Formats: sequence, structure tokens, C-alpha cells
Amino acid sequence: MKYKWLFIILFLGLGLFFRIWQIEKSPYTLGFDETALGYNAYSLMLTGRDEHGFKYPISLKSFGDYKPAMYAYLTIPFIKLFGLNNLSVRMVSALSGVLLALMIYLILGIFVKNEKLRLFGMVLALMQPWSMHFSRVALETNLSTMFFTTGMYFYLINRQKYKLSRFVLYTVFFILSIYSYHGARVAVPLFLIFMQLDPINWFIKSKKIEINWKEILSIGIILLLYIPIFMNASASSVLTRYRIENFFKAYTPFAPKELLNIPFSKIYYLIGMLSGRLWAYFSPINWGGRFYIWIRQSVTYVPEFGMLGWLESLTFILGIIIFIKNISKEKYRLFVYWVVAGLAPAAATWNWFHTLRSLNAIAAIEVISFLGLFFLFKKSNIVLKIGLIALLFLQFIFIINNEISYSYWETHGDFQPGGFKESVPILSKLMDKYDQVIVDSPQAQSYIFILYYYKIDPRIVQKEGYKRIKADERGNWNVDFGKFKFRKIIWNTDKNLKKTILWVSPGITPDEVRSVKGATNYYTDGAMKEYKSSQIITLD
Amino acid sequence: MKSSLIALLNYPPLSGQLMFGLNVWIIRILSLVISVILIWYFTKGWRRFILLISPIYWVLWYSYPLILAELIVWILLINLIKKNKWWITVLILVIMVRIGLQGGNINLIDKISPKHLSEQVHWRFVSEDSLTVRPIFSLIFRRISYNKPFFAVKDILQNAVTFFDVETVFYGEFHPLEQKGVPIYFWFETFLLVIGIYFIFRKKKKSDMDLFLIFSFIYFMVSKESSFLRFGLLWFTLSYPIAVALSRVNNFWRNIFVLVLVYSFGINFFNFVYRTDYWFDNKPLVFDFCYKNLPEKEKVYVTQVLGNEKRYCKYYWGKECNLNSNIAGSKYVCIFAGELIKNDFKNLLDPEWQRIWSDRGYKVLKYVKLRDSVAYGFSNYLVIGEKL
Repeated sequence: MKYKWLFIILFLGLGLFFRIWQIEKSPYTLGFDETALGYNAYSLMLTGRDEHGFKYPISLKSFGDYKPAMYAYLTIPFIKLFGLNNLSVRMVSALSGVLLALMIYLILGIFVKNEKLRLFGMVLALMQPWSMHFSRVALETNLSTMFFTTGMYFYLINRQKYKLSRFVLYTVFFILSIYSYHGARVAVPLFLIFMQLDPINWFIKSKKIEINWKEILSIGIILLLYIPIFMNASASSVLTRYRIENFFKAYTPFAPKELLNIPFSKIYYLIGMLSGRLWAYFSPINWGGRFYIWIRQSVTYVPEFGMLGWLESLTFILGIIIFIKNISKEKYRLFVYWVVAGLAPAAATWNWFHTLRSLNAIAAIEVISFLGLFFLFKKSNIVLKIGLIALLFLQFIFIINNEISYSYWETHGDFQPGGFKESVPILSKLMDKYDQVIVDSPQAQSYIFILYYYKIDPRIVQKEGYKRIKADERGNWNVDFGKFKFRKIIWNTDKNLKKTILWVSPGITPDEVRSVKGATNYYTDGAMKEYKSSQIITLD
Repeated sequence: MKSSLIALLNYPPLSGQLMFGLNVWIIRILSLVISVILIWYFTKGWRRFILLISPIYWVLWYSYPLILAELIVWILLINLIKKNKWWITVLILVIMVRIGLQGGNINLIDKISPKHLSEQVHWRFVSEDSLTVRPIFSLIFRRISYNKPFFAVKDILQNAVTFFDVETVFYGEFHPLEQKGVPIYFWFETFLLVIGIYFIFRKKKKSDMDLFLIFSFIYFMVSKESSFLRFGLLWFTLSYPIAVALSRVNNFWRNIFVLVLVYSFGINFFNFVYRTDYWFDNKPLVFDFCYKNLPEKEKVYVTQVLGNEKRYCKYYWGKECNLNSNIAGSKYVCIFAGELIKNDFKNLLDPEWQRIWSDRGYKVLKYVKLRDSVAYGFSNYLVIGEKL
């Protein structure tokens, strides 16, 4: 196809545009984790240390969740360029979403020779609701997914024809993915082991296991590079996330209590539960629009969609059938292992279906779905083809509206409680005249918003590091610094303080404030016009 | 075990089973015998085994004989369509009857009604416009996809995708949403389904699965029952690939698969025995409790929240049934605790409800807490009270 790369660059450019356009306004504020990534990147840029004072860490201690630090490091150039703001914090995620679509274009080439269809697949990948949504939020998972998928592409072509460069590239990208997100740390070795054992081939053809020693070498290199992760922070700290989300802990003893006496019932239920958690990711209803409460209450909730477009979640079924039909071919089996390995970490958590945790496998899911869609196109007459294209085009426009204009309305409460961003212009003018600012802190991490929005010098908070709670303690991560103090405000007693700014929810009425001599209040706007997010009360 | 088994055997009938005026066990045995004969006649090999051990089948013959009968009619008609396309006319009539019996109330029709669509579009605009800070798109750009025809297509697609619900079909038992209902098949059969599909497509085995799949989808779309029953026809459709898997794998695997299936059947049986109220509809338990525990049969009010109270009254009390139509003039009431207090949108009940009942002049004679919220808003406490 003539001018192929011109089209690719044009579409990728458009994809990036829709991911960063108006990013300062939508989502207007950053979530806890985004803010932590942004501020730690800022801190690393200025001091080479994270907010806790650790020098060039591999994992960010942050709120005790030990986020992989890769995202923060890659954010540094954008902070240098654009300053500390929504755009620079979210840029890595936006670029990851775009590059992932390019990878899907390349992977589709293994199945589809028609260049127009491949390009169409790339546009579809760019415009998937999940991709638009997650690319407009700083998510290290999105970065890891891009690395993982890139590694997978090089692995795929290396399987077709061995080249040293491909071998090196897939190993490097897999390593980058494990340094970017926890889930990949399980998915990568599991996938490579699956490829060695090839259980489906064994089941279908009763073929003996053929060990590929070069790939064993790559597994060895990858596993060796786990050591620095565990050396950097204690092993138990790195596994914090798993300990919190652990399925086994949450569901022991697995079987209903009335059935515990029946032999093997525990193991039957255990396998059933794990298998259900895996199969949930093969259920088109979950990709196409069933909303679970644990997703709905987070920034990863994609309103109106599950993850994929409506049509794509239906063609996922056709794709699955194509894959089952061709399962005796290695390149099809490889996708099954990709999906299973990618989802295994998700299946081992207490959640049933989780959008964010499905990302390791999302590219494979998309390829399966797109191949189903291409099959539908092939079988359709011209009228149906035009209808399908028109529908997809309208869906694209809906997604743009949905993600840029509407989505924040659904999820605003989960991004930033307390109106921190809106307070900047008010508080900046007032702070010099007062001795302390007490921030009512029902949230355990509200300090991070102050650090971020007021661009507090990282050295100040690093100095306070000794006050912060130890790695294994779970609790309030707030730390006092400068004039800022974080604690619960009790109006009846705190109203008597002098030279103090109180930052509270808008619950205290103007009359109550007026009744205190020398008290003045200022409201910060909420996400919606009729609501105020917080109020700042000055006590002279 | 014995008492649990008796509880299962005595599980009160659903309202549909009372329509014929026959003893409920006569209906159960009839539906079991007839369905076994028909399954035996219309299917062969492993498919019989798969159909007969499936969880939904046991619930259908036990509690939903009408639906089982209807499914058999559908299966017969679909089989006839294969031989003569004219039978599709009869099937369309059956579909019309199904929609008619539900008073035209099917999910999809509700969703694509102009009123609903208009509200949806309006809500979009209002929500976006209510944001303090937001990117401004031109009205034309927003209107391209925020309009009734597009929202209708969106709703149809969103509704269609709910048919492809692996969890409700196979994993209902483990699903965290705890949707009321039984799975259509055991979870283990998901693997057999994949193997079966592989054999069907790989070996180019001729089948009528696609036709049954289409009608399973239509049946689903024109149904408004609780979700597991909407998959009723899929019960028959999926039995084919699952049976193909069992018949095509080698003896070693077949023996293992059959062993696991038999075990699954056993576990399912014990599940029904020990956790009856978890699996079965709790509505009949309401009437069973009321009519077996009310001290008198005159000046009695039985909750009308669920409907069918008179039908159940005749079933339990025969000709002596004489229910009051309101709470005020009744000496005895059998109602949900919240009916005397207030409807709570979270289905919460004041912990002091017995005192409130007493303040309102009622003595609590007996009460029971149901497992499921069958009268959402009025709490799960069913109470027999006496007006003092």
C-alpha cells in the first residue's frame, strides 16, 4: 500500500491528539496515584530521590504500595518540558496508548495481509473506549501493557524466524514491562513457561514437550533481573499489593460451610472460583458493558462501556471461534497462552473482573475481537459493510464525547476529594499571613495533593521522612511539612485557634463561621456547578 | 441430611405451579417423566446425559414446569423448521404469544421506547453541562452521537451483548454479584464447550447448532424472567458441543471428564439439599410461612407486595380462604416488617422495629428473616402480628 507510513503517522497523531487535547480540563484533577507518580517524578528530577528520600528507587514507596518507578522516571522529561501539570504527568500514559495501537497494527500483520484492514485495526485500537479512557489518566499499567505487547510482538516474529535482534528486543521489552507494573511480573514468566510446555498441543496431538533453549535463556535473564526489584525494597514490601488483593486469603475455605464435609469440595470450589475469575475475561458482557461496583468506584471505570466498543465486544465471540478452530496452529495457541498468562495475576485477586488488571491481555483480546470483526466484514454484503463502518464511525464520535466531556462527570468523586486544585489561587494569597494551615484529612493520603499542587520543594518533605510510618504499617500516610498539618478538624475546639487557616468540607455553615470573631470563609468550586468541594476558613 | 432433604422436598411451589389446581408433586412428576421421554427421543448419546444432569434442568422440572413445557415446544418447532421453513411462522406466533403473556414488557422494548431514549439523551447533555470545568464541543459534534436513533442502536447492542454471559451460564454460583438463579451448566463444562467447538469446526461436523443459537438469542431477547431462565433455550443448544467433546476425546480424558461431571452433579445435589433457600426463589417461602403460622383464618391480611397471595391462600386453606384487602381492618397480619414502618430505598430496617410495631398497636407473634430480598424496601423480615 502506497503511503502506508504516512497514514500510520497521521492516525497515530490523531490518536495522540484525542488523548491529550484538553487534558488539563478533563479529567480536571488528578487521582491519588496519578498525583503520587507526578510528584515523585518531580522529586526525582530535582533531587534524585523519591518523596521518602530513597535514592533512585526501582519501586516508589509512595503510600506503602511500592509502585514500580518506571512511569515516574519516564515522566521526568515531560515535567522538564511542560512543568508539573496534568499534561506532563499523563503524557507517558497517552503515548503508551498510541504506541500500543501501533503494536496491534504490527501484530495483526501476522494474521492479515491486507494493509487496509491492518490500518483499520490500528484505528480501532486507537479508538477503543478503554484505551482512550486509560490514556487520559496516568496509569503505570498502561505503560507496562505497551512494553508487554511490544515484547510480545518481537517474541511472535522471533518464533516465526529466529533473529538475535528480535530475541534481544523481546527480552528487553519484557523486562521493561516487569519494571513498570506488578502484574507483568507474573504474566511474563508464566507466558514463556506456557510456550515451552505448550499444553494445548500436548492435549490435541499428544506431542512431546520441545524445549527451546534460547527461550529458556531469556527466562533466566528475566528472572535474574527480578533480583534488583527485591533488593531495592524488602521482598515483603514488593508483595504488599498481592497481600492486600490476595484471592486465597479472601475466600478460604472456598466451599460453602454447609458443603465443607463433602470430600474434595474445597478443591472443587477453589478450582471453580479461579477458573471463573479467568473465564470472566472471556465473557463478552464484561467487555461490552457490565459494570462491577469495585470498578465503578474507581478512576478505571469506563462509563457506558466495559472496555471494548459494543460491536467489538460482540465480534470477540467470532474471534474466539476462529481461534478455537485454528488452535492447532502455533500462532493461535500463542494468543491463548498470552491471554491466560496475562490474566492469571488478575484471577488470583479477590476481584472477579477488573478492567485495570486485564490490561496485560488486552492487546490479545483486541486482536481476537478485530479478527472476528474482519471476518464479519468479509462475510457481509456492501450494504452491511457500509452500515458497520457507519456504526463504528458514530461510536468513535460517541467515545470522544464520552471520554473528553462526559467521563469526568461519572468519576470526578474518585479523582480528587477536597478541592485541592481549586484552592491554589485562594490559599496562595492567604498563606503568608498565617502561621499554620490545618487540612481536615479523612483521606489517608491528602498530603500528596498539597505537595503536587503547591509544588512543595521535595527536600522539605524528604526531611520529614523519619516521621513517616514504617513500610509494613498500613494507615495514615499523611505527613506534616512547612505550615501544613494534616489531621481531623473538630470545629467546636479548632474555631478558637488564632492565625490559622482551616481547610474543611463545606459542611460548616456560613452562620457558624460568622459567629466566630475574626473568621472568614472562602468556598472552592466543586466538579459540578451546584456543589462546593471545600471551604477555607481563616482565623485571625 | 434427612431434615434438609425433607425441606427440599417440601419446598413450597411457585405461583406458576398452582395454576392447574393439581397437587404440586403430580405436576413435578409429570414434567419430569415427560421431559425425560422427550429428551430421550430427540437426542442421543452423551447429549442425553449432559441435558439430564444439568442444574437448570433440575430446577425447571421441579419449579418451572410451564417454562420447561414452553422450551420443549420451541425445541420441537426449531427441529421442524429444519425440514420445512414454513414452521417459522408458527414459531413467530409462539414468540408473539410469549411477548403478549409478558404484557409486551421485555427489556429491549422498554429501553428503546422514545420516552426512555429522550430521557437518556437529555441526561447526557444535562450531566456534561453541569460540570464546572469541561472542554466545550460544538453542539453539532455532540448531536452526531447524542441522538435518539444512535442511542437506540447503542441500547440494542448493549442488550445483545448481555446474552454472551459466560458467568451466568456456567459460574452463577461463584459470581460475586450473587444474582439469584442457578447456572445452566456446571463450571467444568466451560472447558468441554471449548473442546466441543474445536471438534465441530475443525472436523467440519454438520450441526444445527447455529439455528439453535439464533433462536436461543431470540428467546433471550424476548424474555423478561429472572436472568437464568432467559438462557433456557441455551441449555439445549450448548448441550450439543459439550456432548461432542465427550464423544470425541480419547477414553482416558472421557473417563476423567465423566468422573468430574458426576462429582459436579453430586455437589449440585447437596447444594440444593443444604442450601435450598440460596438456590430457590424465596417468594413461596413467604406464603408458606404466613399460611402455616397465622393463628386464625378470618380478619387476616397477607402481604400484597409479591402478588398471588389469593392463589396461595386457596392452595393452603382451600375454601376457607377469606383475606382482608387492607391492614387497617385486620386482626392478624403477615407482612414484611417495613410495611408497617416505611419503605427504605436501601432495604434497611430500624433495629427497634419490634418496639415501633408495639407503638403502633401490634404484637409480634412470630417472625422469620428470609435470605433474599423478595420485597426490597420493606426489609427481609417477615412478621406475623396481632392487632391489640
